[in-house]
Amino acid sequence: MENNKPVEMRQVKSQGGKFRWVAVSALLLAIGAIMRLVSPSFAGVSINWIITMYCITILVIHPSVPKAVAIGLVAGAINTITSKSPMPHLNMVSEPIGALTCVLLMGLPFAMKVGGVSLRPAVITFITTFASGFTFITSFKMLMNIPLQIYLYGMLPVVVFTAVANTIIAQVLYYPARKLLGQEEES
Amino acid sequence: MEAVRFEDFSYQYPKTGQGLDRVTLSVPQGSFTVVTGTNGSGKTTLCLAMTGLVPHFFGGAMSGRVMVEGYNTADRAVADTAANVGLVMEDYESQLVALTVFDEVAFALENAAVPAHLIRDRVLAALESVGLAGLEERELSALSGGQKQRLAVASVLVSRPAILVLDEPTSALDPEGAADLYELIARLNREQGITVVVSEHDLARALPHADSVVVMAAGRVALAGPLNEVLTRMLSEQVYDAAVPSLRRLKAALETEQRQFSAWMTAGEAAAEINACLKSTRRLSLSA
Amino acid sequence: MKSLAPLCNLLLMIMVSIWTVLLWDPALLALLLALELGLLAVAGQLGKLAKALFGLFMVAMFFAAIQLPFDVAVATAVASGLKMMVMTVAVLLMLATTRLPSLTAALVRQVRIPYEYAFMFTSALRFMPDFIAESHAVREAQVCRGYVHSKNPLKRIVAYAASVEPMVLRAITRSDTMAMSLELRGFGSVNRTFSQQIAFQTRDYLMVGFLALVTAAVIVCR
Repeated sequence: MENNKPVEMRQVKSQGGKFRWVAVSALLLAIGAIMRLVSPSFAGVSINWIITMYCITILVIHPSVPKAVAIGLVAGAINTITSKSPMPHLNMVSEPIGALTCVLLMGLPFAMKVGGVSLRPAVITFITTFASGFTFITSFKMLMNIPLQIYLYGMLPVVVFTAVANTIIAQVLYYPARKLLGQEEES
Repeated sequence: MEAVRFEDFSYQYPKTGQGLDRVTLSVPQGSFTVVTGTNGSGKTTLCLAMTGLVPHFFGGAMSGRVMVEGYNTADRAVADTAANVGLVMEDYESQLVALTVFDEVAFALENAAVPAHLIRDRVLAALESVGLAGLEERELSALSGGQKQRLAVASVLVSRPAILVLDEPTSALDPEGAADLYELIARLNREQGITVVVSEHDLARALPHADSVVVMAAGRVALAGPLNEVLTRMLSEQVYDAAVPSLRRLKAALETEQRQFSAWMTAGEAAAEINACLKSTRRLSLSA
Repeated sequence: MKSLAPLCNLLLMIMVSIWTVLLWDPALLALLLALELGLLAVAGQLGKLAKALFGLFMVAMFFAAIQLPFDVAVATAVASGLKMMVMTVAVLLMLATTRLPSLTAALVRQVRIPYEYAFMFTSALRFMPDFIAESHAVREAQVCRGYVHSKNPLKRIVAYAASVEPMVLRAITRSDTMAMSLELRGFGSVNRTFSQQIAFQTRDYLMVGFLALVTAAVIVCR
């Protein structure tokens, strides 16, 4: 054991990424479900933690489009069985659409930088939340024949406010999460 | 025959560059081995190397080899090595992934495509052997910390591994829970002949059951061998000697000094004299 | 209900939802709702869900009421409130009568959903109780640091996100252990068995036949 001359090492490729995406998605969606149940509303605006969490998940793990849609489906299923909102199974439609929006936006070649700070997580989360919320309330309106005024002045603003709240959360949480997962700075 | 053999095995994690440095070690079949050392000495990495997760899961640089039951871990898939070695990690709660106790234990068998009609009996037997019989329909959230750890043990035992590796199993347990867990592991070692490797910073907890000890320091094996021999050398060579349980230190101190003592009348007198004796034998002192 | 195959229960929920979309007759919707509540009672879940059902009823009433000022016929408003209830109770009914591990096993084997996706769902549910404890810590941190007192809601959201951060980071650390556990236990193998009982029995086929008949009737009646 006193031998101190350096050893010839060979490189081994990591296979740890194979199921990491499943583990990260499951855990972050679990946080989303819990936070959705316990977090307060801010001046009447509540955060949709499930959407925020799958946005962060998709942003940090860069899944393929089918995997992203799968994350959306699982998010929708979790929402369906945990949310107290009426017609929870509409989430099975709205969340996959949100997740699809998110992963497609990630592929766009825009830097979205303002004074050195990348606003990608914020912009993507805003649009994703809007896409998901818009899908939910629009299918709700169509299925239920809701009067247009209620849709425009009662439901649409809620979607926009939620999107704003989600955007702030995602922008704050994305960078520490990505740093911990050890991904390189995007160019 | 050896259950596990490290042959001049070196390994570096990709990011930190830390890991193991020229480890040569053999773990005899049927033995109960305790791996000890300070934080960052390489205990966990040694455990992970026995399962093939090091290097396969993390990647990085390596040389030498680790043989488990005659197979080179570098040439096998992690899941195949897992048929020989079961691992219970320090954060055992994150190791559990199913909703119910039954599903958790059945998980590895289902993945290995064991026919459904054979699964039930094997799951129940594994639960029985860790003392969780009758809890198979329980949800995981209804289990205590200690029960979850036993479940983690059952979930790897169900694959019938010849070797069981536990990484810091008692770090989250109270002394009573730790004693219970070691009783369980010792029973598996004794009755089922399973080779046990436990990484443990608190040697005293594992001592009643262990028969060999490995002391790690800075990624190297500092000492390894039969329990009594290693404990003696830890003290005489001052390798992680602070971890040697106090009674063992007292024994060593008294034996090396061969002192005569005055006729003790009170416990206070005895303690004072013993402590004086311990102080004179280098840095050893009785804290208990 | 508990004795039906999991996929059959799922099918029941889907078909009831489809009927509800098609139907606008308050009497038929009320009948459907009564049937659902009856099934919940048979499953022994009515008492447990009473509070949730009452809350749902209030939301549905409110929802029906706010439509009235917008030239919506009373029957239509009542129907939409009932639709909301019937669909939501359909979900509750399925959840009350189906074990989720069995449902995911059915989705993988009978609907051919990739196992990874089904696993993501059950394992997320598995970890939820663990995070409840951690979310209490978040709340305590909030109180300690006095974030709740800030007037500006934007500032409060930022502060709240920051206090959730340790929970997220810990989850990412845990995901490493979880991924290792999956690797060790042979996750992702091509052939996988399921120990759950999910096969269709005669009563399941009867239920499917019944659902098909009612669906046909609903379409004809429209």
